[in-house]
Amino acid sequence: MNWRAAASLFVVSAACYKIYIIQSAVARLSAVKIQIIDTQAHKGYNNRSAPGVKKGGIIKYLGNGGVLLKIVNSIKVFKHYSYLLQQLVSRDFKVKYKRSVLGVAWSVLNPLFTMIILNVVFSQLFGLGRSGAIKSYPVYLLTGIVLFNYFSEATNLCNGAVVGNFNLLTKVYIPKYIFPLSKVLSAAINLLFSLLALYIIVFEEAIRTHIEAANAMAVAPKAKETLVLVANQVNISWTHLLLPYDLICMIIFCIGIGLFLSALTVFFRDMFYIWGVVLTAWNYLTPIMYPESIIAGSRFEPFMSAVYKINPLYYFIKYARTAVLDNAVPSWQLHVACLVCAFAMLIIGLLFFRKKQDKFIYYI
Amino acid sequence: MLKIDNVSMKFNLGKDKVNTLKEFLIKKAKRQIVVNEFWALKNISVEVKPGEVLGLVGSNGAGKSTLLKVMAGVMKPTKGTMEKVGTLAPMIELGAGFDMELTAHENVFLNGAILGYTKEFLESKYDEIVAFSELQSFMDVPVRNFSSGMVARLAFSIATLVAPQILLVDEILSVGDPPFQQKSEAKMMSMINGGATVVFVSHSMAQIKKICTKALWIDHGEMKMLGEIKEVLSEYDKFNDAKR
Repeated sequence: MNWRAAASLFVVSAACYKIYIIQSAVARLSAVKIQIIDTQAHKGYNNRSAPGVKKGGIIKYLGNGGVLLKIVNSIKVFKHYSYLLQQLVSRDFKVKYKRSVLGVAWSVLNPLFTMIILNVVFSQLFGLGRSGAIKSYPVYLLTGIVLFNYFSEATNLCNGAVVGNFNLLTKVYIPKYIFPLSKVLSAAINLLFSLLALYIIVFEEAIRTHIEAANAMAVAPKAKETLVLVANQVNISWTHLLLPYDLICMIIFCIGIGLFLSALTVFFRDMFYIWGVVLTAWNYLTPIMYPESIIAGSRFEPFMSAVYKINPLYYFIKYARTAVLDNAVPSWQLHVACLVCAFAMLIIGLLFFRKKQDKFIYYI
Repeated sequence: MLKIDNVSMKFNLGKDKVNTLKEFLIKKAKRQIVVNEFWALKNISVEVKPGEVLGLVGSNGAGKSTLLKVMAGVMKPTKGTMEKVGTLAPMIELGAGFDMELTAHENVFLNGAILGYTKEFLESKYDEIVAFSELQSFMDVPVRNFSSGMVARLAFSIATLVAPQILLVDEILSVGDPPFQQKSEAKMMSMINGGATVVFVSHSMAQIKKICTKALWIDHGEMKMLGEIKEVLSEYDKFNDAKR
């Protein structure tokens, strides 16, 4: 048995053990109580602070309350319904894995297997990873896949978020944004598990590249190939801790798009199909499977570089790759780009949703 | 306290439902987007203070359920405002907020969460809810297997035992059997004496006379009469007799 098989075996058994631990942790997670700040709304009293405004009660339909008041009121309402949010997320999670044998393990195994297949096809068959432009093709590929999968899962679920919960909306008052929000958060839990798959590959690649480089150093220390191998080693450094910033920006971005899509699908039911096509195109327009430099010199270069610049996922994935693969701190421009994409989309989604939410009820 | 101020509600009775992008574009191009306005509520104003019980009467299609949905916050009125102070529990349609696939036990928590209550509160009230509904042996059965009476019992127990300050009841108590109807009336009376506001829709004159203090008669979306029970009900009876 060679070193490669041994390393993979070790990594896989470590993963299985980790999965077992996580499964029991998840069982305890669903029982964790979220601290809920009980608002004054339960008591309900009659203080009037301004005409048309009631302090303490849940204020709806403020005629001329002003934007700030509306935001404060929305935060109060959100806290009031945080237990419902928790219920919806845990219900989605339970239902998703209820009847499968491997259960939660699929969240890890799915991206892992996809990556293995795509790695073999693209690097061995198409030779995409061999141009030398990419340090380690498996890690490069998988960071892109993990983030894009989260985006596609969150948005696909959000499409049906409001439409699928009409039975609740027509009978009782619920803040409608809670449905797309709960779907994005359920998908985020899945994202955490896929990150595990990512790190399995990162560990495996780290071990493999270090061993290869050490071997080459022992044989021919000054050869050009050896220098390349040494430079391309995968390391795990503190820059990996920057990943949560990227993930939080992505979650906010998905909330924005989710709000927009869930509102749009109420009026146009064929968004389910349209969005599938959009996602496929988006997948190939983002440099996930190919190195960014593949467009250099081709006649698509001006078009594609423009596409890169306006594609928010390009920034998110580039940030993740800079932190994980290049072990460098991403430039401040990248930080700002991720933040701007996230909040711009959030504001667009929120505004559209708020404008249309009162009309949902007519479109059952 | 619940205050409805000059509320009007407009619906669009479009001839064809435009549900997809293709239909929308085609119809817009053919200029076939028909706007058929229907005013379900016209300038309704009523105020219900704590401790009062408002009875809503009217013929079918008059707008009673629509008014109740506006009060519950499910619909935003086209014109006018709705103000409320306090927690609200709506009982509009059977199994409002119930997920038919989940068991009764899970639905108690889901419904309680929908009404905005915390997990600890619901756990402390759980046994009371089960005892009131008398469904102890059915708590682990999916709700889609319940009869309409059982669903009404469960819905009523959840809605009342979480002690809301405003309760909206829309004709669903008629499915309960006579002992349950008595129990629910007694429970509503105790809530009313505790200062809650109740809005009650029913076609049973006897029930309305027993529970309500005020009555509002709605006809084709308009306020026909608002006042003391006896007056409104006698006028309503005369109107119905004349129709026959």
